[in-house]
Amino acid sequence: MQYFQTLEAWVTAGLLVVSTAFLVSSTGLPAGTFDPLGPGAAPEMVSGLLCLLCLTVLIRGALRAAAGVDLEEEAAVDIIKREGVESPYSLAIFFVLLLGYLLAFQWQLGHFIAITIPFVFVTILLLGGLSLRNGIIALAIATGLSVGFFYVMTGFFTIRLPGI
Amino acid sequence: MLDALLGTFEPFQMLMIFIGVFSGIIVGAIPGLTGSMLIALTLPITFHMSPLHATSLLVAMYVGSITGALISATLLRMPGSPAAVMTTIDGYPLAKSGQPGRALGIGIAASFWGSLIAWLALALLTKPLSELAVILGPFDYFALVMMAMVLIASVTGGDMVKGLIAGFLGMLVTFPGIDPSGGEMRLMFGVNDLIGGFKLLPVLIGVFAVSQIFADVLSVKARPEPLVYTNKGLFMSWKDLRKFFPNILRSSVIGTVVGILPGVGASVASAFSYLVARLQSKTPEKFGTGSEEGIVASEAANNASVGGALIPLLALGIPGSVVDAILIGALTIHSIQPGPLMFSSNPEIVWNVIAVDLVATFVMFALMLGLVRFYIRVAGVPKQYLLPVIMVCCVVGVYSLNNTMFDVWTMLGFGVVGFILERAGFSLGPFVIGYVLAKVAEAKLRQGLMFTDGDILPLFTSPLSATLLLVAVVLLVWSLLTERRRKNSPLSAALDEE
Repeated sequence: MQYFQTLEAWVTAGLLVVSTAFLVSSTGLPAGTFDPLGPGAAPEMVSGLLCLLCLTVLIRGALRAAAGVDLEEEAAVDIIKREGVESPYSLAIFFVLLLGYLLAFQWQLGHFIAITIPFVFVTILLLGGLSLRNGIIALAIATGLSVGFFYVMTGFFTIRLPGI
Repeated sequence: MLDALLGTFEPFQMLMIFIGVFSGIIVGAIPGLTGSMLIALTLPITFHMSPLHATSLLVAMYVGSITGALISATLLRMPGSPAAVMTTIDGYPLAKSGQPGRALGIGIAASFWGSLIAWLALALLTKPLSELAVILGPFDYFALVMMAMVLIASVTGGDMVKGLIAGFLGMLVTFPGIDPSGGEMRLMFGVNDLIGGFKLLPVLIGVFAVSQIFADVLSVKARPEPLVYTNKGLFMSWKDLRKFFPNILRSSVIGTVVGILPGVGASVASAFSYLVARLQSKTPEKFGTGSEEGIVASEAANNASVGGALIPLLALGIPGSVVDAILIGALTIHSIQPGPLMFSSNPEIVWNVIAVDLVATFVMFALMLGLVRFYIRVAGVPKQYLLPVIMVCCVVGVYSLNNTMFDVWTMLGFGVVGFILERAGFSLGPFVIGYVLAKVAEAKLRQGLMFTDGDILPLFTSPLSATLLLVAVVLLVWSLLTERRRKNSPLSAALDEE
C-alpha cells in the first residue's frame, strides 16, 4: 500500500476511535431539564455522522487499494517522499526541541530569556545548517527576540512570564 | 457610515490600519505564511484593545494579506497564499519576459479596483440582508448553517466526504465543557481544565500557525532567487485601465459573489474568474504564457472576495471564508455576537468594518506601489529565521491569554492534529468553520425545539428552512456526482493533469 493510502487509513481509523468515544460518552448524558434535546443529542448526532463518514472513507480506501487505483494526491505525496524533498528528521528534532521548551516553560526551569535563547538558536541552526554566518544570525535573532519579547510582554502587556 | 469613515482618520485608528495592511502584505508576500496565521496570532494582542481598534487591525491585515501574495507569485513563482496560485500562472512568465514592473503594476491595480467594487457591494447589501435575516427563525438559521457546512465541504479540499469529516470534527471539538443551554458538564473525560471547553484561540493558533510551522519545518528548502526587478510599467495608464476595465468589473463581480457564499474563499474566486476570463478572451492561447488578462482576472477576483466574504459575516454571522471564521472568533472574544442583530446592538462596529475595508484598500494601493522594493526583499527572507520566531510568538501569545499552560498544550495538540489531517488530505477550512458554527447550530436547533415543544416537523415544513435544507441536499448529491464523474472521466483527468 502506498504512503498516502496508509496515512489516510491510519488517520481515519484514529478519527473513528475518537468519534466512537464521543458517541458512547454522549449516549450516557442525562436528558435535558429545560429543552427536549438535552446536552447529549447534538454530540450524539455529530459523532454518529462522523463514525459513518470515517467508515465510508476506510471502506473506499480499502476498495481502492484492492483495485490498485492511484489518486492524484496520493501520487503527489509519494513523489515528494521518493524525491526526498521532505526531511522528517528535522521535524522530529524540532518537535523534541519544542517539547523541551514547553516543559521548561511549564516547570519554570529558568528565566524566559534563558530558555528562549537556546530554543531559537538551536532551531535556526537545525533548519539553516551549521555555518559561522548562520550562527551569528541565529544568536542575534535569539537574543533580540527573547529580550525584546520579555520586556514588551511583561512591561507593556503585564503578562507573567517565567522568571518574574 | 460617514461617521465611521471619519472615525478611521483618528490617529490610533489610522495607525492600526497602516500596521494591519503593512504586516498583512509582508505575510502575504512570504510563501508559507498566510493571512489566517497572522490574524490568529494577532488575536491575543487585540485583547488589550478596544473592539473598534481590534477590528480595524484585523480587517486591514485581511486586505493586505490577500494582495501581498501577488509579489511572490509574480517574482518568485511561489504563490504567497493559495489565492494567488492563478496569478503565478501568468504573472511569473510576464515578469520573466522582462516586464516585472508591469506584471506587478497590473496586479496591484486589479487588486485595488477589485477591492473597491466589492466594497460597494459590502456597503450596499449588508444592511438590507441583515434586515431580511432578522425574520429568520431558529429552524431557518439551523438550516442555513447546515447548508453552509455542505457548501464548505463540497468546495474546499476537493474530496467531499473528507471535507464533511473535517467539518464535523470541528463541530465535535466544541462539545466538551459546560453545555451552554442547560449548564450541565459534558464530555470532559475527567479533564477538569476542559470545564470551559477548548478555547477558540489555542485551537485557531494550533490549527493555522503551529501546523503550518510543522509543515514548513518538514520541507525547508532554498527559495528561488527573485527576478531582477525594475519599476518600469508599475503604474497602470488610463489607456490600460480602459482596456482592462470590463475584465476587472466581471472578475470583481465573480469574486464578490463567490466571497458571499459561505466558506468559499479567495482561491476559488480567483480560479473561477480566471477560467471565465480565458473563455471570454480574444487571445485565450496567451493564458499561461504571461497573459495580462489572466493576472487582472485572478487579482481582481481574489481581492473582491474579501469584501464579498464580509457580507455574510456582518449580516448573518456566517463566515464567508476561513479568515472570516477567525474574525467571528475575534468579535466573540470582544463580547460581540456577529449576526443580523449586530446592526442594532453594535452598529459602530459594523460600520467601522465597512469603512476600514475601504480605507485599507487605499492604504494597500499606496503601500504596494510605494514600498514594492522593500516587500520584494522581505519575501526573500529565509524561512529558517522566521519559523522559530513565529513559534515563540505562538507560545507566548497563547500563554498570555490566561497565564496557563493548558492552553499552550491545547495549541500544540491542535497543531499536531491539523498537520496530520492536512497530510492525509483533510482540509482545515471546514474544520475551523465547523468549529465556529457548531455552537450556533446547536443553540438554534434546541431553541427551535423548545418553541415547538419538541416537534421537529416545522424544520422540514417551514418554507424557508425546507428550501435551505433542500438546497443543502441538492448540493450534497450534486457534489458527490460531480466528484464521481470527474474521477471517471479520462478527459477530466487529462485536463487536471495539464
